[in-house]
Amino acid sequence: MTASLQASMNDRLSPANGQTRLVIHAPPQTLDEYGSFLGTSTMPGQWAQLNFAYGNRYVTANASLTTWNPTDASTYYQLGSEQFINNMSLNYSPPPIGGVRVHALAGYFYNAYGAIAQYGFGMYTNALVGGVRGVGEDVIAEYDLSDSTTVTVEDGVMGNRNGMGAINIVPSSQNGAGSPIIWPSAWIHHAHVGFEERGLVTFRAHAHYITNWAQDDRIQSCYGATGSGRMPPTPSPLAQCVPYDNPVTRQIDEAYVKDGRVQVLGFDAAAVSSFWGYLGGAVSYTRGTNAYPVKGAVSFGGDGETLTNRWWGQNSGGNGELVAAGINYSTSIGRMVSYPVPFSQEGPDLALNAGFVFAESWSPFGPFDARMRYKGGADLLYTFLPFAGVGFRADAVAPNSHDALETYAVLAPRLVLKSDWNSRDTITLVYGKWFCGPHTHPETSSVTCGERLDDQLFALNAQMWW
Amino acid sequence: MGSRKVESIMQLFTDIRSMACAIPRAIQVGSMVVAAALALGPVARADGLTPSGATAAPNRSTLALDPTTPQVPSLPGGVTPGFGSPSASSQDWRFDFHGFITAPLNAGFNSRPDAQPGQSTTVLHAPPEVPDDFETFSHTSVVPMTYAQLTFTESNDVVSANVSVLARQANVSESFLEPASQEGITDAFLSYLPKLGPNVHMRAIVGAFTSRYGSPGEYDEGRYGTPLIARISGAGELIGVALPLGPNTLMFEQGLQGQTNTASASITPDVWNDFADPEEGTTFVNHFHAGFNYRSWVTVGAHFINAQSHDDRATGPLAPDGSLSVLAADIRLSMHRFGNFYFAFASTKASHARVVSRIISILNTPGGPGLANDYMGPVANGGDATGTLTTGGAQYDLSLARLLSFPAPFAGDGPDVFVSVFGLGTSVSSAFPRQPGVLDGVAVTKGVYGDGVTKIKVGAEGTYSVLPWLAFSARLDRVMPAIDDSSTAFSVLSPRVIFRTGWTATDALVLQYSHWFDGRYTTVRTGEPAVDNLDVVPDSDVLSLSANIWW
Repeated sequence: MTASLQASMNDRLSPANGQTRLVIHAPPQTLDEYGSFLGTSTMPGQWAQLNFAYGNRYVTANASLTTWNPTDASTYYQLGSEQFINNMSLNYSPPPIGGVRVHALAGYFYNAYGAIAQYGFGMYTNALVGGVRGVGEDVIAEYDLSDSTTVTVEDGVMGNRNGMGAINIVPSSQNGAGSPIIWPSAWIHHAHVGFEERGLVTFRAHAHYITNWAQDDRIQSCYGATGSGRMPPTPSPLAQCVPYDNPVTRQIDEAYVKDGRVQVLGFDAAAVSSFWGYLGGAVSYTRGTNAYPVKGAVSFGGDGETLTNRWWGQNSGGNGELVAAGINYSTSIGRMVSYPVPFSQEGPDLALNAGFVFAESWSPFGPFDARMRYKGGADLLYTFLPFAGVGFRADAVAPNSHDALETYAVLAPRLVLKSDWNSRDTITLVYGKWFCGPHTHPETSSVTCGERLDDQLFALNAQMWW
Repeated sequence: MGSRKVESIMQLFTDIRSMACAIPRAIQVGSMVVAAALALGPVARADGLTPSGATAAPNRSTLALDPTTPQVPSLPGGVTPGFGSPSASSQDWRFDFHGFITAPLNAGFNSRPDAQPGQSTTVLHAPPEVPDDFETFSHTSVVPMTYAQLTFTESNDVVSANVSVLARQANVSESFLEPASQEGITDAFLSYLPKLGPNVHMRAIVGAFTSRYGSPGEYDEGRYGTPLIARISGAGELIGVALPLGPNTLMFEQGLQGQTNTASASITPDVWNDFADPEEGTTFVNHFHAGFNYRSWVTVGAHFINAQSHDDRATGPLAPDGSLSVLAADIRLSMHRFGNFYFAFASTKASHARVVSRIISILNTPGGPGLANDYMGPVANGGDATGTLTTGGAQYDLSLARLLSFPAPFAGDGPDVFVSVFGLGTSVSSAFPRQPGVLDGVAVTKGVYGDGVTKIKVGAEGTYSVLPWLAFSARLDRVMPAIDDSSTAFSVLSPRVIFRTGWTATDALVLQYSHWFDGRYTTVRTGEPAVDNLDVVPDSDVLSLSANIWW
């Protein structure tokens, strides 16, 4: 669980009597959007997850209850923020067959690929290759070629959680629909192959293929009104439905909805050394064809909707390409100093985490075509007492190679308190400062830092895992 | 030591009361609070009990109430629970965690007659567009439905607290949000098993819970997932008494349940509130049951259920109150190696039941409006749920291995063939005349709702357990939404393969293919709320992979 008191600050442009110049906002109005390329993970968020498991050595039932907005701290009830039973799956671990160890999942679950850090995605939140989410199955087979070499093969099929929404649902925040589009039922097939060589330095490499597609006629505007449905014995001219395009949704022509598809090819590799630390890198290629309404797989650039809106442009119809690459390095000075004696972390330590991500998109939409984006950052954490440490993080982000004035930087010092050297809990006090360019703005808005976007942040965050 | 402390505290309370007579009211209240706080401290540390007998709260290192303390006032009688601290008789208590999960991947297959470039002829639908709407008579349970229930129980040998978290969709962040599918804490009740001696067995349930009567399965709602008599979901009580008479048992049961909220006139029915209906009035359900079990072979039961809604907010000044009554009888034959047989007959009489809320459900339809929309004539067309539903249903289950291994017992740990036959029929008598189904202004069916409609569905299922981890199964269903109109009827054939971790495993991975043999006007429901849509050609094939586990 992670829970944060957050506040971002700004100046009121023209304060009247009884109004302070300083204004304070919660949730913060900064550039740090979750899942966006502009996000730098500077701002700690809210998340609580309780996992329940029951099973034996062969099969386990798993269910998780989650929320991204604990109710007590909210001033109004945001439907959907309490996800209750978020995932539920059966995890199978049958006995090895001929030296092949098989693991399988069936049910509702989420998998992500392209992790470039030891325990996650590194400095930034987006998986460099992508993820799959939905209901279905996933089978993983491992085989040891030798005592030090293992190969892994994985394959999975998934579908939407609730598929196609009813055509007469009125989009609103209450049902999580931000646009009049009714999302079709979509399907995912993904396959992976991996290799690991263990030694003084352990090498890992994985190749990934993910395809996410939809072939659902119900999204077409005339579906079921005898446009493509059942005809009466004596059809009248009134039975004919005239297809129409909703002008509000520029991303798609509802009168003629083509089957959409998102395909991802990816590769990641890592080197792990007990002295040098963890070095990981990944690259992915995403291609969209009429991809706007396709949901399920989450590429580096997001699902079909996000890829269209943020990477290829609304007028692209979800057609485009995206290449992303990243590298991440993390190490512990304490571990280096104590080498070859294993470092128990029962003492002062200086931990370094640094990463860099690059992405380029190609699209029929001019402003987004051949647009390059990159960001890089480094984080230092010095733990000097069992219960205290100080950290400092710096990031630089160039969101648009077509406009250098959008580039910005973030500095974020922090104080970390915890209950022991190796504890699983932290209390973190963070200050963040954005140094924006004249044209810096969020992905979904043209508001710039100098206007209503806050450039300072305070957060008090509590985290614990078990 | 502890009893002396309690005595001193009680004396202190007596002194405070006598002092309070002579001081102003405000000071009196303040003194009581301070004195009680001072008094409770030493007692709590000494024996862990408050004057009320509840356990004491953990030691405080803050001036605030502990954040984990429930956000509720003192309980009636001034009892303040020492939440979070162990019971004085903690060795008698145990915690249980049970659950049930069904997580299916379903895909319906259909064809697009007018596919354009960039569009495939084969289309894939999720959820499948087949006539399997849960609330309608057409529901067969052939298409697996997502369901997760986590039940937490804390109990001793007399009382148990039960809380269930339930969801009918998982991870709602995808596609679109259906808040009502995440029911959250759906049940919260206490169950009492008082010790009344060897000749009386009693169980009392108090709280928010569901009662179901007419369940054809030995341990479940049967192949159709439909209680044949009624389902009652509400807050209230249920008391059951069993009186052993030698090898036989006489049983009586009574329950009273009501609803905990009601939709106000200002609420807009929508997906997010599960289509709250301001025209449903506050409803209470009273029910009585009697049964006789003969030597654990035969159980016969008689049931009377009455739901009443007397709510002026729903009826307005002129409309009559609504009621819904069920008179039913059932018999269950537990024939050991010859299997289990269940039969139920129910007569449901509805009188202006449009205002009877969904805390009562007949054949899975929600309340009086459901009874109107699914049987007696739609509310949208003027139906007010006045009429009678005469229902009969049966199910027979047989394990051939158990039959053939007799007299050796069979525990399910070997190959087996398990067969079931089942059926359900109902006849509608309604004040609402039967109306034909209309497509583009043309009457194409005789209609499946209203007066004079008789509905029947039958089915059979066989499962062959071949190996500890493998079984083959097939099911055939025939459904006639109107027995005199075959154009709306359909059949479903569903072969499947079942994978599991052992002969008697509580998990099953089921790969199933189903094919619908539809009539010309077999009808599916679409939209929110779902309504019959004659325009839509149903999917003829469904492929599903479902993960199931229970514990």
